[in-house]
Amino acid sequence: VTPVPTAPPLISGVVNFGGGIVPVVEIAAILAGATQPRLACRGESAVLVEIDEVRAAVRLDAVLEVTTLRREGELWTGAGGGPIQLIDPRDMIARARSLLGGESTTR
Amino acid sequence: MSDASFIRLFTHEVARLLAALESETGAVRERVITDAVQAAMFLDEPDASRAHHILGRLEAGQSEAADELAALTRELARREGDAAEPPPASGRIFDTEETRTLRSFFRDEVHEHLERVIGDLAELGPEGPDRHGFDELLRLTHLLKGSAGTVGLPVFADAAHRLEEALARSRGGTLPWSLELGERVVEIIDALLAYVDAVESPAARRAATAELELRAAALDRLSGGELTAAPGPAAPESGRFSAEAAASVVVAEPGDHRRRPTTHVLRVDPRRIDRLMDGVGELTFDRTRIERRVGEIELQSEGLARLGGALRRAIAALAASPDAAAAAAELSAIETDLCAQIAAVRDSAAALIDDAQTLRRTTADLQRGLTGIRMQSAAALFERLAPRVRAMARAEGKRVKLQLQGGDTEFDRAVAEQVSDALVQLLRNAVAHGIEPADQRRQAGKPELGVITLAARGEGESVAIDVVDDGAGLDTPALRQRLIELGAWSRERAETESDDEVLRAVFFSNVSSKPSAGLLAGRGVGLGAVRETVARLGGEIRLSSSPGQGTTFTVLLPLTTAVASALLFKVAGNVYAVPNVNVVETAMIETSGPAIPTHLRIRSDPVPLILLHALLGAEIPGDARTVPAVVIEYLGRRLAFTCDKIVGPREIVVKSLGPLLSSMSLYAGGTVSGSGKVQLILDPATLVRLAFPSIEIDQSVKADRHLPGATPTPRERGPRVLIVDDSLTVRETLSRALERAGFAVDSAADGAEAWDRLVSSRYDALVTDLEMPALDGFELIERIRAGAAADLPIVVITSRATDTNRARAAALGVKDLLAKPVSPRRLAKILGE
Repeated sequence: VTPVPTAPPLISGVVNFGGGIVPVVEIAAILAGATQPRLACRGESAVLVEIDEVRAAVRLDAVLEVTTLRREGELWTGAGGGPIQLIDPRDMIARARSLLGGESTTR
Repeated sequence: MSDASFIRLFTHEVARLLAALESETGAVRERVITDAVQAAMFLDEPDASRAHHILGRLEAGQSEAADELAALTRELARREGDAAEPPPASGRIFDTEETRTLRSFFRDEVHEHLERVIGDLAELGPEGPDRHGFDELLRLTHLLKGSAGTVGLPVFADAAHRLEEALARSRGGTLPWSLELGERVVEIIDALLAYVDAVESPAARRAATAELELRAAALDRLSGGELTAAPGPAAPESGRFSAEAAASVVVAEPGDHRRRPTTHVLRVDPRRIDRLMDGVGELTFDRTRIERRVGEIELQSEGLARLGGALRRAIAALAASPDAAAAAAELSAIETDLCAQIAAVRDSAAALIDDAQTLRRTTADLQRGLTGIRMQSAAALFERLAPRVRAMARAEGKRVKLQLQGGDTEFDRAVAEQVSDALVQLLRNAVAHGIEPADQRRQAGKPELGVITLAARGEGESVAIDVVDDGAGLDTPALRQRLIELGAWSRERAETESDDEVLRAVFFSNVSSKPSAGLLAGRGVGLGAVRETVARLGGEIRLSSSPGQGTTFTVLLPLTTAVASALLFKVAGNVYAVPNVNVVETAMIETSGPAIPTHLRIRSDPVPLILLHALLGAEIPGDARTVPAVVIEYLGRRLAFTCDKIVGPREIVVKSLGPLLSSMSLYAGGTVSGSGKVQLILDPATLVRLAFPSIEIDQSVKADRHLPGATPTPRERGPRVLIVDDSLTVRETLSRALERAGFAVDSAADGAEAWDRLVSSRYDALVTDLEMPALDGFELIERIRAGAAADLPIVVITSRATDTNRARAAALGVKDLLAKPVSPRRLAKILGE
């Protein structure tokens, strides 16, 4: 990961993915809002998301499994049967965009 | 129900056909039948099938089919008359992606042909075109008329048809050529060009359609109405004329006369080329990998050679002791094997080196070839701009001649497309404010006809485009005064700075954007935007002016944006790049003293020094006695910055950091190294802004406002409005109207650009479209509402004034939502409140 100095904490850097440049997004920082100090990720895993032509690598502690979720009323459950909190990547990217919008300009 | 314009076209072709049937045979007959078949394709079913059926029989020699054809046209004409309202010119064949693509080709085609026609017409004397000239004109008009039908533009086809009528009549002698006719013809061609440019934007298209109708009507009046458009077969007059028009089409078959060499245009989807460029980028990285591998093999073979030497020595030692003779023999055998292996490694290394060299040649060829495909001649760009200049001159009531030079200069198509708007802005400035009114020019002893020159030339790795006017030039004393009035400069600074510096200030935002600035009225409008556009393309803009003689804007652009030469350097273990074009030199700085100097002395000039380490959140290593510095120049400003180590110049493939990071102005993009690591490219423009904070006039104005004790700047300027719309026509019409209404107007082509502007300067109101590329209207508004300007009055203009959109707009605190087309007066009234 190449660091991007002056970027807010939710961006921990950029990586090369298939010849293109993709920003690495810290999901913890997005969930906490940009003003919080960085919540460090322990892991080196990331999932690559692409939404409306915005690409980002979202850093995670660990990928537990790739699975199909079932819906039970308002809740989603995994293979193990326990409820799982679902994060909408679109919402996450939208939050990242709005957090990045103006503050990071050095102008 | 077939479209009225198509029916008209079909009726016209049938009239021609029927006339030709009586008098012509062979090739002419076939030709007019083909034309009619083509025209019939645009009729709706079942009309089209019926027409084709009849035409098929006619072609087969059944002459009684002619009567049926006449009956069909009469029926169609009657139905056209019955329809109270013509069906909207949209829907049927308009919305597919394919049609859109076709239309973009058609647009290129129209420009290619009509620009040349305009060029020819401009050279004509009062006697008008000769026979070949008319033939060529008729051929092209006819060709475009047909293509327009194919891509679903009946309005264009109809106007082209009326132009064809007038031309045919003039060629036949019924309508003698006159300067007025020439003028009308140029006007309708300009309107046709404007129409194809406007066709993808519904609002602009409506405006262009109206303009086209106006011009076509003017031409009709001159040429005495549209005789052949009358339904019914072959009135004698129209029949004779139509046959003649048909004949002229045939005369223009290739071979017999001096036709101009046509430029063959290769049309490639830019996205395809971008993908290829990425491929080339990958190839370059492969090459780097191979070269590294070669290095490894070479090292291995050296190691092997050392090993062989050691073995030899061991053998010699063993040979000295007789007991070990057998062992020595064995060792000797090993040495032989080893030698063979060394030779093999050497061979493969040599082969690899050859491979790498081939690869290097291949990539270089590929790069050159691809860059070539992306290239476009300046002539293509200029010819698109020329009608705009004529239209501007007409609007301003000025007589202006446009000179084009260096049309064969080539540059990147992508660059050409993006710089086009900026050039329009410069040309508008030249027409509106550069060239003086005729009486002033007379008084100054100049010819009344103003001359604007648009010239391109290659300048090393750059292309320079000059926009030159022979007008009054810029009034630098008045500019100094304006800078003081705006509070941008202190009186002392304004009195002491050089003229060059004053001219440079024109580009930094609002020096002269005030509508009531008298001498400088509008002179600087958009120059800030022009500078930003050019800077975004990695170029720069210069301005020179001499009183009474005129003004010259020079836009310097990189030859291509895809592969760039960059200087690589390291800070805190990471590699960064700056564009090589901006690099002046490198130097070493002593850090032995307690503080790093704020300025360097490069030769005799002091140059500000940026501690890049600090900017990038790193520190200069404590034990370093000297650190390298890179001196760059941008927009005529020099600055130096520190780094840890200079890596050297490299060819890099520039890549975007993506939409998420686009707001980070410190970086112009990134590139991927041979080992696959991302390296960031620093934006020289931002570094200059950091090193010369005083040139950011916007901010100094803002600072003034917030300082309670500061002298209030004497400003009678109106409220500042930002217009955001992806249609140039909308931006232009609204800007002009609002400027007339006393507002200071800036415009942006999409939400992202608007956001940049909103962040860097203050506006009193925002007018925005909803559907735009990059960042759409609602996203922009949401961002604004979430940020500092939560109370900014916003007016939405949209072609989709649906209830959903209205509700969403209201929820975001939008003041008003207006359906397009927007009445500028109404908008001004709303903004006035």
